[in-house]
This record gives sequence, C-alpha cells and structure tokens, in this order.
Amino acid sequence: MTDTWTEQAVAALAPDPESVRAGRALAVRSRWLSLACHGKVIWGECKGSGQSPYRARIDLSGPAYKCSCPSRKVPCKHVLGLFFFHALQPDAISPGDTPEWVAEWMASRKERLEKELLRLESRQAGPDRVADPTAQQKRQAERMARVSAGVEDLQRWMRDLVRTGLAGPKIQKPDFWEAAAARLVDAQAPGLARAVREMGAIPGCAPAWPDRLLESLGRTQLLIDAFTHLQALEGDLQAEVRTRIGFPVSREEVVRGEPVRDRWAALARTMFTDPEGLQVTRTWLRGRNSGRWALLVDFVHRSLKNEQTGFSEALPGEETEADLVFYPGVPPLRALVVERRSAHETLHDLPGAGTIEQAFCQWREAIARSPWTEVWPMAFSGVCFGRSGEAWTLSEPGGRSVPVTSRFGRAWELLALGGGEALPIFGLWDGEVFSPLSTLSGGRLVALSSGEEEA
Amino acid sequence: MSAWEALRHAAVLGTGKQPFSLHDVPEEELRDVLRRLDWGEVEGALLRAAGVLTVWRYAGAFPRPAPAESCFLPAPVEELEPCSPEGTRLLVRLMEPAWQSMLPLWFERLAETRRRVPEPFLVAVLELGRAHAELRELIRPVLGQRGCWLAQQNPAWNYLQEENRASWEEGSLQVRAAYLRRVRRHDPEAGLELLQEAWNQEGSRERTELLEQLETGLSMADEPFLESALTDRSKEVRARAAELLRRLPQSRLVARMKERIRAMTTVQKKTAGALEMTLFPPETPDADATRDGITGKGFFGFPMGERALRLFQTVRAVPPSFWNESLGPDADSLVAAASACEWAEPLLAAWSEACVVFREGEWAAALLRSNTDAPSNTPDTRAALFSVLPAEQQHRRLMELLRSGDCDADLIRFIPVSAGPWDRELSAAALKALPRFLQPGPVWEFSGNPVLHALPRLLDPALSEETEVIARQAELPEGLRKQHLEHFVEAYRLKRQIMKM
Repeated sequence: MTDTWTEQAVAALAPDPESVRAGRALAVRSRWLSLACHGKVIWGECKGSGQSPYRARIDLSGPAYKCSCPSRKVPCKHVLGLFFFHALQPDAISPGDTPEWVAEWMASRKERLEKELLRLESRQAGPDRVADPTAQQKRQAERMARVSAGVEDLQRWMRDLVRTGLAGPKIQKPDFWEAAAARLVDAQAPGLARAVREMGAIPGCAPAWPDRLLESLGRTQLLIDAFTHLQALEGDLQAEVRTRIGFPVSREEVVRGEPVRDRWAALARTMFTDPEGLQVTRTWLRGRNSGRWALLVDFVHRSLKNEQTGFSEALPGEETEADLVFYPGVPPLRALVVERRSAHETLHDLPGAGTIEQAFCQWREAIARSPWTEVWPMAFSGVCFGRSGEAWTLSEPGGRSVPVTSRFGRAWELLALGGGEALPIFGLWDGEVFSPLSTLSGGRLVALSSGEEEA
Repeated sequence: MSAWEALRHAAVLGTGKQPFSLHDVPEEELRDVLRRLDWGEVEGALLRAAGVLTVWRYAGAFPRPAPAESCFLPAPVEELEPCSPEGTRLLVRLMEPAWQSMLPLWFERLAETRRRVPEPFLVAVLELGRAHAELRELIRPVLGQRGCWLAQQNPAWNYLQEENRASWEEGSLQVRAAYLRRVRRHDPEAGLELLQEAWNQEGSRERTELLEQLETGLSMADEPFLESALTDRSKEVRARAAELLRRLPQSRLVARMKERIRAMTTVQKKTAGALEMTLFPPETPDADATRDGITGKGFFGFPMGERALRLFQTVRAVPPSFWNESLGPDADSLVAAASACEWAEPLLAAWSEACVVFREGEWAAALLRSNTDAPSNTPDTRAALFSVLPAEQQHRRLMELLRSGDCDADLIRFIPVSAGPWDRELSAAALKALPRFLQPGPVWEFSGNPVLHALPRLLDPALSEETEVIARQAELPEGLRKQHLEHFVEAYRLKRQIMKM
C-alpha cells in the first residue's frame, strides 16, 4: 500500500494534461537545487524564472502540498514534479532534516486540521458546548428531555407499524421513513435517525426483506428499552447506548482517557460519503501485543476535499508504535491516535490472524456484550477463495468456511492472487456475510475493496 | 413453523388484523426470556421477541465446515518468472488510453524475455484481451500457468480457448473461419482437406469466407482446388479464387495470363538503345478470360475504358520480372518504352500493383525512378512501391532525401512505411531533420503527424537525450503541434524503456 502513489494516481491530481507533462519533465534530479524527504513529507527547491528558487513541499499521507511559485494552477508543476519523482524513483530522494519553511508548514497544517475537526464536532454536537457549567447542565437536562420524548414517539410509531403490518404499501414510500427520521433529528437523537433511515432502505431490496426489517426493528426496540432503563445499566453499557442513540462524545473527553500503547497495524480502509456530503473514512487497526481491534473514523466535508487537508496518518499496510485512546463503548472499538511514537514500517504479515472458528468466538463475545454490534473485524491466517454453487466462499482446508457477500467486487483479482491456495485475509463479518477488505500477497498487504463502500 | 417465522408472519400481516401469541421454543434459556416479556402489550412484546431472537441467532452463528473437496483445484506451478517492477510500472502506464497502441510491443518484449504477467495484473490483462481482439495472440504466451487457469474459470475470458474440431462442426461462420485459419497456420494440407470435405455442403457466403482463409499458408498445393473454384457458381467465390491464384506465380492461371501478354505484345529495339513497345489488347476477351478474372469491369484508381481495363487485369496478374525474362532487357528501359506507348496508363498501373503483390524490388525502384505523369503515380502508390524495396535500398534513399534539405513529399510518405529498425546514422540524420517535420504544412494530416507517429518504431533506441534536446529546442507554441511532439518524445522514451525490460 505504500505504492499508492503510482504515475496514474499523480496524473489524476493534475488540473490539466499540460501540467502532467510539465510535472513529469520536472521529475529529474538535475532540475532541483535541493530535494529531500522526512517520513511522508518531501520538499525541494526548484529554479524558476523568479529571483529566488521556488519552494515546493508535499505530504504523501494527505495528500497535501504547497508551493511558493506564482502559478495559479493547483497543484502546480513543481508539486507534481515532486509527486512524480516519488512515484518513479522513490529511492533517489535522500532523507534529511526538515528546514524551517517545511516545519512551519507542517505545524500550521496540523493546527488547521485540529480546528477543522473541532468545528465538525461542534456542528454534530449541536448547541451543547458552552463553558458555563450550570448552563451546560441545564442544556444537558433539556437535551435528555428532548431525546426521551423523541424515543417515546419512536416507540409509538414502531408499535403502530407492527399493528398495521409490514405488508402495507406506506412503508415502501421513502417519505414514511424520512418523516420519522427527521423527527428524531429534531429530538437530538441522530443515531436513531440513522437507524430509521437504514431501515427505510430495506423494504423491497431483496426477497427476504421482511426478515431483515423485523431484525432491524427488533434490535432498535432493544435499544429503546435500554435507553428507557439507562440508569440501571453499567457505566460502559450506558455509554454504548448513549452513543448509539446519538449523544455526542467530545474529543477532549476521549483524549483524557487512559492511553493504550501498542504497535498498531493498519489493515484496511473504507470510505463512503453520507447524504450530507460528508466523506467518512474508516481505518481498521490491530494492536500486535494487546490483541485489540481499533477503528479510526475521520470526517472530511466534501467542500474541503479540494483543499489540502489530510486525515489519519495510518495508511493501510503500515504499522507504527502509538498511543490510542478509545471512545467509551462496549466492546471498545472506535479510537483516536493521541501520539505516534515511531516511524511507519511496512507490514509483512497479518497480525491477529487465526482460524475462522477463533474469529467467530470473538464475534460471539462482541454481540453478547452489545447486541447492536453491526460489523466485526476478522483476520484469517489461511483461507481458500472459491465458489460454492452461485456464491463465493472462503474456506479453510480441513476447517470451516464463511460465505462472502455477493457485493464483493474484486473476486477475480483475489482469485488471481490466491490461485486456489490459502491466503491470509482480513475483512468484516456482519452477522450474515463476510466482506474481504485486504489480503497478504507478495509479502505485503493488498487492498481488496475499491475503497468506496455503501453506508 | 418456527418461532421466528411466526413472528414475521404476524408482523407482516399486522397484529391489528389477527391476534397473535408466541408458542414455545425448544431452547430453555430462550423460553425463559420470552416468557418474561409482557405479552399484554402485544406489539412491544413482538418487537422485543424479534430483537431477542435476532441476537440469539447472530450470537449462535457457527461457521459451516469447509466442503470436503476444495471447490477449485489450485493453479499449476509457474514456469516463467514474473516481469520486473519497472515492467509492471510500464504496463500500468501503457494501459492509459493514449498509450494502448504500444501494448503489443510490451507483450512481445515480455514474451521475448520469457517472462510472465505478475498475478496482481492478470485480471487487467485478461480484460484487455477481451476488449481488444488483436492483443489476444500476444497475451497468450505471457499469461503463465495461473493466468490460463484463471481464464478457464471465467466465461468472459473464453477467447483463449483453442477452437476445436467441435467448433468447426457447430460454430458460427466467424468461429469456423478462425479455426480454419489456425489449422492452415500449423498444417496447410490438413486445412485444405478440411475445406474440400465440407465444400459441397456450404452455401455461397460460407464458401467465400472459408476460401479466403486459404490465404494463410497459400502454396502451389492449393492450386488445383483453386483452379476448380474458378468455375464455381458464385461470382464472389470465383473472384476470390482468381485473386488467390494470381499470387501463385506457377499457377496455370498465371501461365495463361503470360500467354495472353506474349500474344499481344511486341517489343522492338530502336536506335540509341531505346525500345519501342506496341500492344494489341484483344477487342473481345477470349473464352477463358472472364473465368480468369478479366472482366473489363471495376474501378482501380482512375477511369479506364473496357479494353484498357482488361489489359490492366491481365498485366497485373503476372510478376513484372516475367517482362524482362521474355520480352525485354531490363526494367528501366521497359518502363521508358511503356510510358511512350499508347497504353501507358493501364500498363504502368498494372505493373505498380504487380510489384507490390509479388514484392519485386527492382521493378519498384525502376517505377519510382521513372516518376511519370501517369495517373497511377500517386503518393500512395509510391509509398507502396517504396515499402517493397529491400531495407538497405530504402535506408539509402531516405538518407539521400534527408540530406537534400527540404520536406519532400516522398519523404513524408516513405518514412511511415519504411522497414525498421534504422541504424544509428539514419536515425541521427532523421532527428536532425526533425524541425522540418514540425513546420506547418502537408506533413500534418487530420489524424496527426504520420512521421512523428512512425519514428518511435524506427529510431535506434540509443538516441535518448537527443530527442529531448531537440524537442525543447523546437520551441513550438502551445497547441496541437506541441502536443504531438511531446507525445512523440514520450512514445520514444517508453519504447526505450520497453526494450530495456
């Protein structure tokens, strides 16, 4: 995955074909007065038509870039030149100490990212974040009252649904679900709103849709019941229920938690864009020594995509020593990176890989602790990809097998990589089917999804 | 009905329409939980029960045992090494639409170096073969064992399957023609036999299409069959048969044409070494002439009367060397004599065509030298004649033209059809002359610049830096010309990288 920067990927960054040519022409050492790298950041000075040389800097993990040349094209040919250089001759760039003008840029980027994240969070949290403690308490009490009312409303609505029956025509109309979801958003319960919207997509989507819908309704009912008896639950489970309903947890709160230090390996990344234009990126991590799974979730608003913003520094296929803090939940999964303690190293194995049976034990534990668990990460040390009738499956020779989702788009590529032999595979189990996300081939992690997933 | 099915049934119907109560479930713990629900409020209890059963099912999920026999037999062990990382980088580049024309070179080079496509790219390559039929034969040798194994699993990639005898019996015309072509490639006699066996049962369209496949591996062994096809009831079949027979200098058809030529031609030596040629093409064709393809009809580049057309069709069927063997001393004097005679136009046109078909370098050179006003002396014909010359002669002529200093019309046409590769000297001379080909003018056609397009194939791969220097110095303004030039520089660079693979 450290080869994500191919020539084609760089060319896709460019604003027009002319810049591509100009960029390629600059991918020669002789055009640069200085050229060096540090980690994922590459910088260089290029002689231009001005008096002083132009300073260009790029960060591969973003991508993010900046150049001092007066060109109005973004990214300019100097930036593209650095990218092409990396794509064509990565070893020809010598590591070096970051000069001031690069360090300054990295610091200001980090600041901007932090501010952006806080802004996004405050947008999601709603009008709740005030410094004054009494006012804050009052707001929290008000919020609780609103959510309770919303939950009661939902309960009545669901009972009505069951009374009139799922065969009725009105549930096929998106407005029916949208109206209920909107009411929940007004009641400050966005998590429930999302659940209702997802339920709305079920009618008619497959022959067994009434079963799927009833399953979803049933689990939502359990969530409503849990919320109604919130105070009787244990601390962790309370936090889980609150998160699922949609109570926000601020970054500051989470960051105060107990950090977990480990060598964290990034195994896969998926992205999807929600209906409001927010691009959500999920990165799955595995702690080598602790044996814990962690999920990093990042948000970038679509309008910011053209700016040079970056997100989580963990690229799939790499591992790094880091401190993570986990959001409250049961079992704890979503996490934040508070401090990275070492450079990124390429992964050459699949940590946490075991048998299918072992993975299912973990799944059972997870579901037992939180009945609303939607997906669970699983890493298999050796499974053969093949067909069983019309469907694809993964099977361990002499062991167990799991069905693969019919929406798996890289079946032939996986077959080409495996050739019928057993391969290590990482992916997600949703209770019905498995979605392969990455595999180990040629000693490196290879992504199996196209990156985009449906919500 | 299981508990879940009962729940679902009630939910779908609606509890308002039918009273519902859940019967007992076999599992003890589950039964306890379900009994504790408040069934007085039916809807809520139903929903809760659904939730409980769902979690029960998910938590109780146990993966099935793997099937006893594996669903796929694993792929056989590879014999060839995969290509280098630079090679795969090149492949990724060449898959861009602008560079796909260079893919054949990449595949050929891979086959030459006895390497194979690495596993992560097998699907992309197989898809390329599916979309572009002309790449399929080039892909086959570099797929490796896994690639072939993979192709067998997916019906979309069955183009790699060898057509077999069954497809000859049952396939479409396309498939059968492909099969016949393949057989002719390996064993022409067997192919001929196959065709002869099926001949009488085929319709005229099939006979035409299949007869054409005899072009592959054509030899005198096919002559008797083709001669008999001259009397076929379909006009198309007769025309194809005559066409094929014309390519066999020893065939009876060609012998008949030679007789006809001898009968109508007189060549006399005049004073000062010049020749005089008189021709008496027959007023009416002889009995066999129409059967041999002398129809007196058709358009061959410029308008000709019926008698002239018949002359043309006769002369073009015979290798030009026949003329100096039986009728005159050498090509140049015969060409000169022909230009002076009243039948010059069809004669020169026929000789030009015959030169190309029979690949007669001497006559091609003579015709090019003569450079008459005849309507057959078009740039396209000249280019075709040039392509027939032996490589050495071609290169010599190109050097002369390049040295002469201007952008000669011949030069523009000759370069694209020239035989490659060029030696260092010629390549250097062409590169030096490159600015000439960049000036606006007749060299630029609608589709681009044929010289720039052909040069990467021809130039000596070692002249790397020179191209880039020249391109920079050309200082073209932004626009199509500059784009074509940069495309040329890049194509040359890519070709060099492919040859280094």
